[in-house]
Amino acid sequence: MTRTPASATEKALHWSVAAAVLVLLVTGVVMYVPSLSQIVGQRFWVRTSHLVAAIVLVAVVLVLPALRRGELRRLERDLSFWDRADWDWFRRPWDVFLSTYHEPAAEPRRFNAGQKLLAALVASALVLLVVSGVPMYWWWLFAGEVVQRARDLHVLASFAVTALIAGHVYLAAFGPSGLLGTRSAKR
Amino acid sequence: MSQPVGRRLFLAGLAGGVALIALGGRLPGALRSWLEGPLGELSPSDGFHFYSVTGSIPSWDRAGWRLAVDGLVDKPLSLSLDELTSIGLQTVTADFHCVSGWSVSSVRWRGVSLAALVDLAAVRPAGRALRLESGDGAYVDYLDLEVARKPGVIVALGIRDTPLSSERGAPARLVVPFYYGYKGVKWLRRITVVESAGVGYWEARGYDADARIRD
Repeated sequence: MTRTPASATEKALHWSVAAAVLVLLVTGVVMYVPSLSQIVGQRFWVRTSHLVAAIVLVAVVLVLPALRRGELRRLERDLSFWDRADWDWFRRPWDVFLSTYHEPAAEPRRFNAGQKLLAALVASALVLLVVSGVPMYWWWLFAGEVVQRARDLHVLASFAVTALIAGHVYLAAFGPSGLLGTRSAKR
Repeated sequence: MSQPVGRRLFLAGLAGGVALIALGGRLPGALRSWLEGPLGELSPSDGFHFYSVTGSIPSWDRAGWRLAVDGLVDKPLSLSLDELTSIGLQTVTADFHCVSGWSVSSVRWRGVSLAALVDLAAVRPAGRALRLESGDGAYVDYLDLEVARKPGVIVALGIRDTPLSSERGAPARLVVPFYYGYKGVKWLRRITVVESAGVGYWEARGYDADARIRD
């Protein structure tokens, strides 16, 4: 089965979002974990880097689709629509984990079910993170309880994104079609 | 036949997040605490997160440390820790609130009334505010004298029956129980009586001037 390679626009979207999320995760962890906050200090700069990365993320997600509407609409469809083969992916998590999973022979599909699930969940988590980050940054515009609830959501969504990205990086490296996953896909 | 499952998952994720916050009551906080628990030492053991605007905690030694009270006063002070303690300690118990949404309930601080301290220095009539300087060399904040004289505003030397740790601002920090935590200058080393309140560290970087805890 031959996969359609990612276009330049798709690569730009993926890697700019990845870079922004990486900065957000690193600065977020530094602000969240006391022992790291103590080592790094510089609260203003860490906080400002976190905000700038969030603004870059939002700008990329808004600007790129506006410039390449048709191309990214197709990407959204490729990621959104699931068929029977996608559900099969979830029935064999152990095979996926061990890189021994082979997709059923069918018409070429650009993304496997894991990538589709990741895209949907990371997208919703990132929206929640951006929205909940607003009362945390501009705290004086909101009631204390709103800021507290926003922080709870921010922390929970951060945990979810971290877990999802860890899984994504693992499968991107060791999965059947991963960079280092030579055991099945490349044999 | 394919279906737009991804879109539904995306919307379900958004709806779940909004519902968790809008309808969850104590659930979001409880869920967060449950997830933070296994982090062990990575999560704050005493409930406090650590904030510093510089790269290190100021070092100090008991023999050489002094708290200066100067500016528009008739009797400038330079107090050792023992002299500060001898003014008289009081206990203040209050919830600690950070502007970024985390709180620590019922924190028991022990320290010297800020009103008693400035009275000891004999503030001149022109003095209307205090400039509070941290030993980190960067953090400065201001309090109107009227606020500084309110009950519960103390220069804290201890927390929960133990001396302040370096992380919490040892040897002395400000506690203003009705303000957000950023007004509590840590590693306090100098209090200067001035004519009017200037712009504090975070106000100069965008924070609102009103630090009162919002309900």
